[in-house]
Amino acid sequence: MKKLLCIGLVTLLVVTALVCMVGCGNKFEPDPKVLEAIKDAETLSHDELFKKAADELGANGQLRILATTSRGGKDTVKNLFISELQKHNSAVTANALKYDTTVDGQIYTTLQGEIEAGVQNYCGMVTQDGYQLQTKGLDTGYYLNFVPKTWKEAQGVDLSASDPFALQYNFKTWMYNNKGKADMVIDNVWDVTHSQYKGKIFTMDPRNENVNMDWLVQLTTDDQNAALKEAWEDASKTTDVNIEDYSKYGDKKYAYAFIGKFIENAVFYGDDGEAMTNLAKTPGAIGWIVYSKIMKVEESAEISKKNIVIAALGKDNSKDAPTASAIKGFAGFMYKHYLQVMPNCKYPYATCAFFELISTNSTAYSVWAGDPGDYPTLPSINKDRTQGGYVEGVNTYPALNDPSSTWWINTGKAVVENPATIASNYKTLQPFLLSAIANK
Amino acid sequence: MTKKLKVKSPKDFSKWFKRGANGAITFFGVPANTILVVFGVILLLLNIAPIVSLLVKAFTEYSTVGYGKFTWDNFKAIFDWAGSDTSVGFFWRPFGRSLLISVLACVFSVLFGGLTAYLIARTNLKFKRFISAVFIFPYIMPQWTLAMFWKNLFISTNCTAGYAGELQALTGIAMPEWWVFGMFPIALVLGLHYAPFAYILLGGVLQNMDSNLEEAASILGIPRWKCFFKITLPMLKPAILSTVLLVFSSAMSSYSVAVKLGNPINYYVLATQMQALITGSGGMLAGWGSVVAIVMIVIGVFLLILNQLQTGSRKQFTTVTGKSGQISKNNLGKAGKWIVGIVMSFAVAFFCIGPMVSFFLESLLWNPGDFSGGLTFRAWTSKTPISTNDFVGFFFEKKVGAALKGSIVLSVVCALSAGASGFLIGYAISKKRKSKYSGFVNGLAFFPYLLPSIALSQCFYLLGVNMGLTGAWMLVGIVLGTIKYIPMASRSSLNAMMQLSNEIEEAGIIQGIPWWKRMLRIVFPIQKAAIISGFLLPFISCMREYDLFVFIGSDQFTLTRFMFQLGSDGVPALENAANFVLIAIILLVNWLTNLLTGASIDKGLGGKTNA
Repeated sequence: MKKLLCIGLVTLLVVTALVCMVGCGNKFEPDPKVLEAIKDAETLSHDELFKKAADELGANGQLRILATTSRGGKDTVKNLFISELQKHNSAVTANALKYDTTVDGQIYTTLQGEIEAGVQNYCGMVTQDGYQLQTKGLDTGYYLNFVPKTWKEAQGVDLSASDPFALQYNFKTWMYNNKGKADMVIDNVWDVTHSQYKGKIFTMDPRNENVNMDWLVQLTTDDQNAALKEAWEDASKTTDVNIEDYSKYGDKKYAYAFIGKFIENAVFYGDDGEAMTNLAKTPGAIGWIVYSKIMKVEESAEISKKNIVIAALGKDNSKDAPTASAIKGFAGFMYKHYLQVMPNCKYPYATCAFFELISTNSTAYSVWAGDPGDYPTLPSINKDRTQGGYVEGVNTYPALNDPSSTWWINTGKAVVENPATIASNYKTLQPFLLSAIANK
Repeated sequence: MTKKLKVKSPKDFSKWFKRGANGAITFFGVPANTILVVFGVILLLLNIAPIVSLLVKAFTEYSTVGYGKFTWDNFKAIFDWAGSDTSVGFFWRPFGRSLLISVLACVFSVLFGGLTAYLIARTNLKFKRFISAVFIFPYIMPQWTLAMFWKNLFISTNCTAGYAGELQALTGIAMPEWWVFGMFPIALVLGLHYAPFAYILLGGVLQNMDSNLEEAASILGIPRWKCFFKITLPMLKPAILSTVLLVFSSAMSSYSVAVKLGNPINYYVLATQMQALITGSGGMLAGWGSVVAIVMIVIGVFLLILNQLQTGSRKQFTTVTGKSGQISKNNLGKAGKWIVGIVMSFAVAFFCIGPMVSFFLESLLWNPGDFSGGLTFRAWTSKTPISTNDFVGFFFEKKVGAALKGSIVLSVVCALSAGASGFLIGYAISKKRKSKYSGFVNGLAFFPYLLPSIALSQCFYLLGVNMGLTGAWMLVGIVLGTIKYIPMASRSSLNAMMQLSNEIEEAGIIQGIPWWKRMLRIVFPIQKAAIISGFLLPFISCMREYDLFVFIGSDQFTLTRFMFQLGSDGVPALENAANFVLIAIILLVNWLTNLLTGASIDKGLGGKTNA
């Protein structure tokens, strides 16, 4: 009897645990009310949208957003959002917005879990990483796209950023520390694959930072492979990479050779901030780092932003951006921060209103606008930083004179993130990349 | 033996039911039985959940929705060094490194801890009180703090991705890479972190050891070294083995030290590789990571069995409890006691207080490790933003306050729940020590200690998500913290309860005093210090925990989580200020508890340091 009881108990517990693992909630089904609200919201002006959002939230509602960037949670954004709502409904409280932040991977897992469990918690996401967005949100039909009317009707917007709707472009680029190394020049992307730079390329582990992985995957597309081939031909006299070692990859041998050697030379950091801090301290090192992180470098006798050169802009970069990129191949990786509505959202109008505000209002966007490398998809709210390195009219920090996103894309030939392309090529590259990392 | 009743009719069933009900009432009328059954069920459920989660991932293909098909591919990718070009890099090499580091960490911890314990307990060393009080600091501090201190101090231009660290900046001495990154510093830092284990366990034995044997040898003219190796060391063997097993299993699953001192030169160990596999690549490699986690659990179980075999019997008590009252102290000599005392004090201060000084200094710098910009208190007192992320100084930053509050609430609740659960479990096991079920619950209570924190964190995170608890992360964190820290509390309680004679409680039973009153009025007051230590250990561990809560809640869930965010946001001065405050709070709580109740963490681990 005791044995039977024990077996029964253990079986019951295992079954309970398994049920909990698989999920106790209802199967996902998009809420028609949310779809309807988004469709309606896309036809509304700013005031009309905020009126509906304010009525929806009322005195007790709280909109919850999950984001990868902490900036949208700043008081500037929150206060503006609340005051815009209160114009239409004074009952809306200061607690009407809760903005939580966490890392990319967790955002997708959390939201997916909530959707599948039928939990109404987070209403919207502000996040990066095209691969996970595509495979976990778009291919599954979980995420709903909303494009604000004010954004769509504005002049100069890049409509390719409307589906999936993106708040901004962000930029990763090549930079190096030339303190005491006046003759150091990185003018071809193949330079970073040279054996002399082994252990001197500072970046993040593509396994930990999927944006880096997305960039590497994007390099295997025909266009980027062709760009790498062109740069290779230019660098063939100086490089020590034997391209034929990668001939088994056929036409894509340039992309695979570049990726393999880049991984071999790279030093992986836990985050871009740490990579930037160490780059600023290490003369002769090269960084593949998010451009905005340069602002984290504080001036001192030993360390200065003056020692950092953005490879594509060159050492003498001024307010007039160079007519051609100073690096052959590509100047950087232009990825995006996406805004998506959750299909079981309790406050769809409020979510749309929040997205409308941060993507079209210059005051709200100002929390992102200060740093180089961040560009809104709505050009009119972009902050001009072409003279970001000027102090009292003197070009003191050339690396901070940030040209526009169009310069990076058109002149700099930056690699531009495309979630669908990345998703379709991801699994092809992954075995090679894992092998390269495992055998570093 | 009760006769089995065959159920043939409703009348028989009624009899059977009555007998069963009476048996159940009698059984559950004994508080120890009820406690064992209740905690047996709870612990079984909470232990099964992560194991099932790992097994499911290990045996299924990656899928963006739901679970993938059954597969052996994850095992093949990890173990098949001939067929997979990733298995060496992702498993075998890190596995070998982890084994080597764990062995070295054991050597370092036994050497440092044992030597200190010997000097404190068995010699006339000077500054004992200071050394004894400070020596446990490295265990109280988060592991990575010592690693950061080491890196900040010794990093040099000789290292991969190196720059002039504090030592090179001050003296021009550039340390080689093997000193700064890789196997040696990881093992050394882990050895220092776990040296208090050795100090406490060996110190307890040395302090209570009957010195008659040593004195007899001395009278017979046996040299002191021979006496040490032939008499003292064999008597310490059980404690050394316990220390080695404890340190080995902890070092094997240690993550944060290897991240700081290994990753910069691509030196991955099993724990860091597991983390990269589980969390990276959008979850695509979680199956591989789960296989690695299972290996780590198997190693842990193997060590647990070894530990049970070595220390599970009552032998350890007969070896060390014979208190003769004649503890002879070796004389270090008039000058020796001062010289050794001063050297020890400096060494202890360097490793134990040095990190705190380093963190405070780093909080005053503009750029980490860069003194050329002068010192500033802006990371502490600035009301205006000190970074482009709008963070202000420590005292005025709301997010720091929220994260600190999260840490304190979580630690207090986890300490109370794990401490109370551990106390009850320890009590029940000691009362039913001969029953198989009590052994089963004892094993269940210790099992979470063997589960890698990161794997446990991910499992509870997924459970929370699947159960719709994304709005109640604190609750998930409390359950997770409680289960992870029950081993500490239950061991502490069990040690205390084993020393308590049944007669003491029996006197209360004869008087008809209810169970709860006996616990409050008799059991608790007698073993107050050890029981409170069972609450203190989870509090300290939870306050300094990072790995366990890495998936739970937002970035401001705990102060340690927020510190990592500050690091990634490029605000290292504020990160260091938070680190300094965190350690200060832990030390303050430990000191206050010691002052008010006499309890301290060393008592929880079963030793006495105040020799």
